[in-house]
Amino acid sequence: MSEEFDYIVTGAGSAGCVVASRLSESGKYRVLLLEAGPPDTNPWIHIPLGFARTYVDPKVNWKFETEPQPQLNNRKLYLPRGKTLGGSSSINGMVYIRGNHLDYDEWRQRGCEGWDWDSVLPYFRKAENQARGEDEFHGVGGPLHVSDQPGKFELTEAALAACEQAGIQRNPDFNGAQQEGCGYYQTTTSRRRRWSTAKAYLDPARVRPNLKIQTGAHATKVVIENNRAVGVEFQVEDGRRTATARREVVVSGGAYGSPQLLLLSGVGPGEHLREMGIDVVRDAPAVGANLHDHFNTNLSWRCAKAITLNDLENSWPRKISAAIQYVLFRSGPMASNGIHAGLFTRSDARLERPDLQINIFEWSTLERSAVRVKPHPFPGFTLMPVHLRPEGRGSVRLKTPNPLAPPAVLFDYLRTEYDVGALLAAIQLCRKIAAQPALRPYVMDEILPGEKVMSDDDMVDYVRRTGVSNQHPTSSCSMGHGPNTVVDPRLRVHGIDGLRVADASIMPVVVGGNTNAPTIMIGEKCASMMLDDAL
Amino acid sequence: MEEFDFIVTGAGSAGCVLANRLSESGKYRVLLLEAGGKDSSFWIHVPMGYAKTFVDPKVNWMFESEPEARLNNRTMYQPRGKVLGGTSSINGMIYMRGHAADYDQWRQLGNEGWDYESVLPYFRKAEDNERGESEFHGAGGPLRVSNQPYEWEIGKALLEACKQAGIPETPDFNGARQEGCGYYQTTTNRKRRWSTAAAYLNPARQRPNLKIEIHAYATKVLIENGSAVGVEYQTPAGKRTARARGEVVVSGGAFGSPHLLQLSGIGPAEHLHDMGVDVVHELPGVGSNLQDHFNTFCTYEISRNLSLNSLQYSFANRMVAGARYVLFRNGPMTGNGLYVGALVRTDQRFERPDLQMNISAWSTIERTRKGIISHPHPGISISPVHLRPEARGTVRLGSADPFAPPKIHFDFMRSDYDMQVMLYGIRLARQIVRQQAMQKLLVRETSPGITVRTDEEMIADTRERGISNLHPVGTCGMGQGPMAVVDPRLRVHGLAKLRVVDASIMPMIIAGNTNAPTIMIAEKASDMILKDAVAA
Repeated sequence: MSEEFDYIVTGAGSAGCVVASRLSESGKYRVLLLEAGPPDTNPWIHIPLGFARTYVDPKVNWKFETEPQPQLNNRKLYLPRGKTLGGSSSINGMVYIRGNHLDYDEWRQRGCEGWDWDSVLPYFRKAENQARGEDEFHGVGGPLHVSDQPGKFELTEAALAACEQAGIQRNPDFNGAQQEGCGYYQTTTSRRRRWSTAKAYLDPARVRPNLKIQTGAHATKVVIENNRAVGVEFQVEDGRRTATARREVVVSGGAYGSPQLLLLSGVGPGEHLREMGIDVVRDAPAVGANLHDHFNTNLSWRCAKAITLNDLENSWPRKISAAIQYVLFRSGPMASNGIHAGLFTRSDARLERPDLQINIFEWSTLERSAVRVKPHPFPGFTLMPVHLRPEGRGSVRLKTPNPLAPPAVLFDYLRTEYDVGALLAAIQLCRKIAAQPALRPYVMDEILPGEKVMSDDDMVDYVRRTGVSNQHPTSSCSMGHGPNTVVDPRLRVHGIDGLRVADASIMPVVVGGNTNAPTIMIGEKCASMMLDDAL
Repeated sequence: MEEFDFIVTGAGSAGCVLANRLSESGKYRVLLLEAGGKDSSFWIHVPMGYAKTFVDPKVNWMFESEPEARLNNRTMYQPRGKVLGGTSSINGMIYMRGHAADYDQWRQLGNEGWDYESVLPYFRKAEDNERGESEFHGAGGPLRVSNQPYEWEIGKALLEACKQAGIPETPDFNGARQEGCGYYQTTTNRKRRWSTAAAYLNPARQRPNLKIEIHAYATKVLIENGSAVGVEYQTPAGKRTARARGEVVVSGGAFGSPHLLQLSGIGPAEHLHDMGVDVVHELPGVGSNLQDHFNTFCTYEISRNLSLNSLQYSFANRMVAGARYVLFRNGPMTGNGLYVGALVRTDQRFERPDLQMNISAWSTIERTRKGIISHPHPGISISPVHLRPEARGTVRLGSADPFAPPKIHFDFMRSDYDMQVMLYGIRLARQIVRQQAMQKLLVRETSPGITVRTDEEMIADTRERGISNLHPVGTCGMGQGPMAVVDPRLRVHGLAKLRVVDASIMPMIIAGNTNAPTIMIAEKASDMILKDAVAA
């Protein structure tokens, strides 16, 4: 006999925790939240700087990998994704960015009613507990704590002054009236601790008798009968279980997990399913298509002063002192995410909105892979140019019919001339910033790509050799009308009753900024629509 | 078996352009296949002949959509030209390019080289505008673009009414600003229709390296080792095959092109399986993303005999008009009834117009495959056309038989916005006719009729009478990734030597009539094909 619920949510990530919490709020509905990973008890999750550890920890990380990327010298790119309560909001960089207002207006222009900026802003505000207080753009009293950086940082101050000298205006709030400019990032932290969606939405909801949170439960299939989702099959340590959904199933596995689960459930491109030996429940060719992501490269400089996070990692005394500072006073380097500031700009002045984000890191890495994150053995800092509007479109497919195997992820980075050109413009800009007087006391030699890499051809080669996913995958179950999309603007899977997708996979096109805050907004809006529809 | 460098299937708005441009240098042998016949019917060339060819199976595919769920299960009649010139031989001849930002949006969707600045040179290259050359217009190109030949009293009154209703006048819908009201220019030359057959094929016919084959119905693109190598087609004398050394260019329009690709085993694999067609190359986007403008009609009886209606209901008037046209090339038959139009935004927050008001000195009761039936009294019509509908439909095979028509499904009136635009349009039409300029002429509203007043009533009426604006596009959408069909050089994703060139490649429908943009697409495609041929 399988247990019965009103709603089943698969995946306790940035959106899943929100949906489960909101659906169970009234007490009227019984909700089951399934999470493949363990509870978020690993201490490194909660210390802001700990994300360098969880970045590679298989206990809390799916550690996916792409297929060989043809335009990147056939490299396979590492894709960390949170596998714990909170999902990737438990292991991400915590930067709170919503994207540009026009990004949402563009969603609307693509046929998604109710997703223009004016319509989504209330959900950003509803989610938010802004440390700076309430205003036209920000909310207070919501579950998600959004805080300023714990202080000012010498190197970051110099870098921001250099940005201004390079002609980029200071912006006090990337999520306010205007996105463009440079400044400090706000983060999803509360009192110097990570504020994942598990913290924000699940902790207050845990005690509800009508919410069941099951960890270690890997969803393997949505059970569909007569074109209606009626339950979920999932794997726990001691076998396969099934839970029944009286009302709806919400798939919330993220841009890799959600299309994978739909494919496993027989909803996807018929030919592909047939090849995998999966019965076709509905031929939905767009499932897993339209995958894209921000793409970035890195420029690093040796720093003249031992004030960077490299020096923390490279010196035991500094490590110990940082730990003591953090434990006793919640201050010092471990209290921050190491990504203090950044800027949004346009690679071409004729563009109507920023297409580049440049992250300013007070560290530089020798290695950043599935194995480890290892800083340079000397002081260093990094400018990371991110292309926010890449044009290639990839796919998520099954490798095998085994539901526990990772999916086949193929991006199509650096597809167009513009994809390449935008990053070239960004590299030039980073070098221009590093050459400004304000940074002169700090900048020694350029380590990456190095001063030998100067011509366009050499820079393109560098990007193809070293460019990586910015870990903002979206759009593999994209929202819209017609067969080229997966869900409608109420996030209902086309052609299947009682089944929605709520996470970054529904974005018709990636927003111009970090994707955690928009995914939380999607979760809020989805829950609100579901509750409306339930009446 | 005959060999060519390029084979173009379909001699329509795009195919004729391609055949001309690709054969221009004399270096390449080009085959142009057309399922229909010669464009010799008298009624093709007389502008007012529109009403005849609209339902003439000799020159018209006469497709019909599947029942539309939100339109009371009505089917949408789809006249499409089956003749040299394709639909440019039977269309309303309005020369309209769409909004500059439409093309910038194509670019934003990932299509390099299709922003307005990049496409404008191809609009200009095609064009021979009666008004001469300017920043926006070309002179000396094959496509004659003319002013209205004849100033109609009723046209003037309606334009004045638009202005009185607060719509600013624009001197040129294809110039610096699309928004506003004004006279349409048309693709006519000395009061005769100027189809792409007239513009591009006639000057190229005698080239020894161009073979134009009529009554040749393309049934399959032949693919070998991931490369298009030829086309199979049916002629009255039987089945033929032609080989292409260079490329095959599919140019069958938004219905014909996905239809031919699917018949060739290129499309959504599941669907092809169901139809019993062998899958040659899985490409799920083929036939999806169908978009079209949607319109309804507000019609008004007028007090004086100033409209074209009398051509249908009065034999005497018809004779007089015919004689005037034949003898003097003047009179009502020089026009197609569509003189004046307006492009407006239904919400001031929009950046570009989303509603076109087609204002015609002709009012009709019905436009179906049975024909166009005019009101039996003088009348005008104002037709609000929704330019940015949100539905995305499909073109699918009805059977594996290549001669069976495709199954077309639009999904009109999908969203709340789709309805709001129509409501706005009907109200605007009523506002226009109530202006002082129309006071003496207006007798009554014949449809929807003054009893239709509330939102609900107007929506119900639109569901009952609204129809396709006959601007289907998007079914072989251009872009990146697995759901796109062609890349920005119009090459079919995943196959070599195969392109699609026609309105089906538009990723998003443009805000305006689709003939001029289709000609632009073909001009640009020809350029790309020739450049790639040199590079190869």
